[in-house]
Amino acid sequence: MLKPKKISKSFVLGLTIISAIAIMGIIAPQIAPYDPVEQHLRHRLKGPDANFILGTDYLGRCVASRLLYAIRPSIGLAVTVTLITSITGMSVGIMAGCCKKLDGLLMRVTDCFLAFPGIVAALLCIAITGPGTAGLILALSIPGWPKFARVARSVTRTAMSGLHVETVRSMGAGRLYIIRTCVLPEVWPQITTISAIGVGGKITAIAGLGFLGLGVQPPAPEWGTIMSKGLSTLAVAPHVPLLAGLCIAVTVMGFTLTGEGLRDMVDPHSYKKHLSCPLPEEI
Amino acid sequence: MRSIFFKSVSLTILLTLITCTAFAGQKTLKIGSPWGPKTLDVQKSGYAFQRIGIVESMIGVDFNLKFTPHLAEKWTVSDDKLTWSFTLRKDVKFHDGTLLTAQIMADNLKRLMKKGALLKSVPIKSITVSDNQTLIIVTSEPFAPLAAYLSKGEAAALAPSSFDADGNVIRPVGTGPFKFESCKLKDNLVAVRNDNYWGSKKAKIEKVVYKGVPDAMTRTAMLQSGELDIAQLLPPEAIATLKASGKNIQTKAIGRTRFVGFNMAEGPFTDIKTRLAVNYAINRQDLVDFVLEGIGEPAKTIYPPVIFWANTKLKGFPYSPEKAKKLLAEAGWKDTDGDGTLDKDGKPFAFKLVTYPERATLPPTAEVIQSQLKKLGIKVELVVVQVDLAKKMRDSGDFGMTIVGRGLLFVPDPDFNLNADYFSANTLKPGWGAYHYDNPEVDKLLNQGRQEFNTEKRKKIYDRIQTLLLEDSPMAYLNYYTNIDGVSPRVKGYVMHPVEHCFHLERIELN
Repeated sequence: MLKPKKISKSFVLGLTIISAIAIMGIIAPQIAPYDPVEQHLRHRLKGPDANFILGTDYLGRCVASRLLYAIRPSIGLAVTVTLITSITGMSVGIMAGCCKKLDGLLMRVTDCFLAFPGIVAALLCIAITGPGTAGLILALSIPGWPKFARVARSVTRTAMSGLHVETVRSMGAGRLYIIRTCVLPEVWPQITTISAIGVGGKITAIAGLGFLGLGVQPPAPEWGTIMSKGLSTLAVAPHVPLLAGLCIAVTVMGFTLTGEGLRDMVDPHSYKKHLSCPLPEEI
Repeated sequence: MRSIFFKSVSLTILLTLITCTAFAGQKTLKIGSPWGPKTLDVQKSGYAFQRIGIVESMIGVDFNLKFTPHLAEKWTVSDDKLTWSFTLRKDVKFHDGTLLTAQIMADNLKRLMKKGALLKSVPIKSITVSDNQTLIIVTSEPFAPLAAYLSKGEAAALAPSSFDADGNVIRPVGTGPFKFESCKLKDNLVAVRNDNYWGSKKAKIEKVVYKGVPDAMTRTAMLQSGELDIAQLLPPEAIATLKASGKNIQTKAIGRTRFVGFNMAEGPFTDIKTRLAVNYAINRQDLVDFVLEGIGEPAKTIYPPVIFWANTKLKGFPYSPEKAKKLLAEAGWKDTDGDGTLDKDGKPFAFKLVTYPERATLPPTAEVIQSQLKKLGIKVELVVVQVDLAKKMRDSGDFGMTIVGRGLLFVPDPDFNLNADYFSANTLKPGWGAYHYDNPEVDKLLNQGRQEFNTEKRKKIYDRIQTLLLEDSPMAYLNYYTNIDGVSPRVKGYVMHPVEHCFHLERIELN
């Protein structure tokens, strides 16, 4: 099913960035110079110096330690939400694209969710789960999956109408076999790309929902929250929001490069480009 | 030659006119506050309309928190202290030209009793009219703070044309120096100058736009970009930025206090010793210095000393971790399992601290307190949620401590807030009062306070209540609010009011 022609360079680069960040997140307690919640009120809002290599925030907490400790919740939550939304969306989309009977019903349900404003979903989740990470994951997943369902459905429908599917079917293949061999390879590169690019947006969305009490509660560090809290002191201590923003940017770059590389490697269309023989349509 | 002269003169006139129109456009004052108007019904929530100067009440509150005659020229109380008679001014006209009469005022107050919450706890027996200018209010028992209640925006005079056939407010037609023009609920309120204002001070500016901008950073940025002329309630960290860009900063200590409320119904704080321990464990000076950037004052009692009702003899709680440790040990809290957290009967000293981010200083205050209590082995779980949810958690008892900033003089008399927050029957109700606080002596004093008309004697009663509130510690008072407003240099004459009763925009001039 997935036979990459060659390893893409951007995939390697992206994976290196992500792994480096992930490893730093795992060994954060060992490499962080300070406890991330320990306050040094007399050294607040200071720039980088010998004691605090990346300076301190509004309560005199070590920014370097906070950024390191924030890797786990930030990436953890963003990746969890992305996985949930993409897998749910992909399953619903493929199901709708393959079964004509279910198509109408499933897509109308998807439309309902698509029309659901994110903030309403967030308030609903607070009511259901109370404040905390479970509520945050729900709040970001509920309005997130329909996008994936739409893409998956349209790609599935295109694939299903292809000649090769007809051929395989006439040879007696079952539905599951068709999905596995003909549909999935078409759908999943698209989904991977969208999800990889969406990870950064998820990190900033976490900060936005933090205001409603969803997600990471203070004083626990989280990139989006560090950035949004740091904005109020931008004039006196620009290093805090800038560094948090940089972390988010690098992570997003890592995921995007990985996503693009993955697509280049497994997308049947980009694979076809390497074939020297003319495409069937062109004959 | 002549033609050139003519042309230059007409060009000059044209240019002057253009300059004038540009200048006229600048006669709009734009104020940004965290809250837009919640409802058009002044009697349900009237503060926004009163602060801007659209509606006025019978009694004014001056900058020293004294009551002044406003729509009512004078008022007297009968010897049995039950009958109040208010004499209204003769010359007051509403924005629609109607003359203010005692009957209109009486109808307004009667509607307020039915629809609004302000007079719910006031023992009013009857509201009658003896002549065109005299309004008589009879209470069923002596009620000293009545004048303070009637100074509120909710008790303002509204013209009969403000209501539709069903008695709902369609547009507030008041008597103030500004007329209501339009309103988008929770967003903005627009008012224009009332050229027929009855008072001696007519407004100079033509138009006021009052915007609700919940985010303090957005308000700061809007003031910097000139989108706002006055940005209210800014965080202290905005001061440096705004000063650098040439804006003026005004500060004013107000009748609002930040405090910790304890859950006295269940959990560790049912024991008075733990409440006292927390009071000693909080370093209030650190909170002022590092969270409020030095703008504020550590609290010694519920009221700031600038307010007449404050018991200035009280010294509050000094920062003393030793005393706190001793009290906790006396209460039986010890770290028996060596995990760094105190425990008692197998339960760790851990609880939820609920606060809300709408008041920007509260979450960092909570974070500092969390770290101060951690040093004593108390484990605090912070829950920073939107204010409605915070209130819901507080009302359902799902908290150990709350941190709130509470206006104590919305009704500029101690009775209003102390009664709502500390009277035993009221502490069981939703709100931000002392959760399940019950002290019969406080109850008795509160009842005495509202029946005593002699100010000196009342002051003694409320002084005693403040002493009891420190002894029982149903709350830990942290510090007093100082409002920080950023003002554009083109605004002249803006004075902040200690209870935010009215912005007195009629004093303002725009350059």
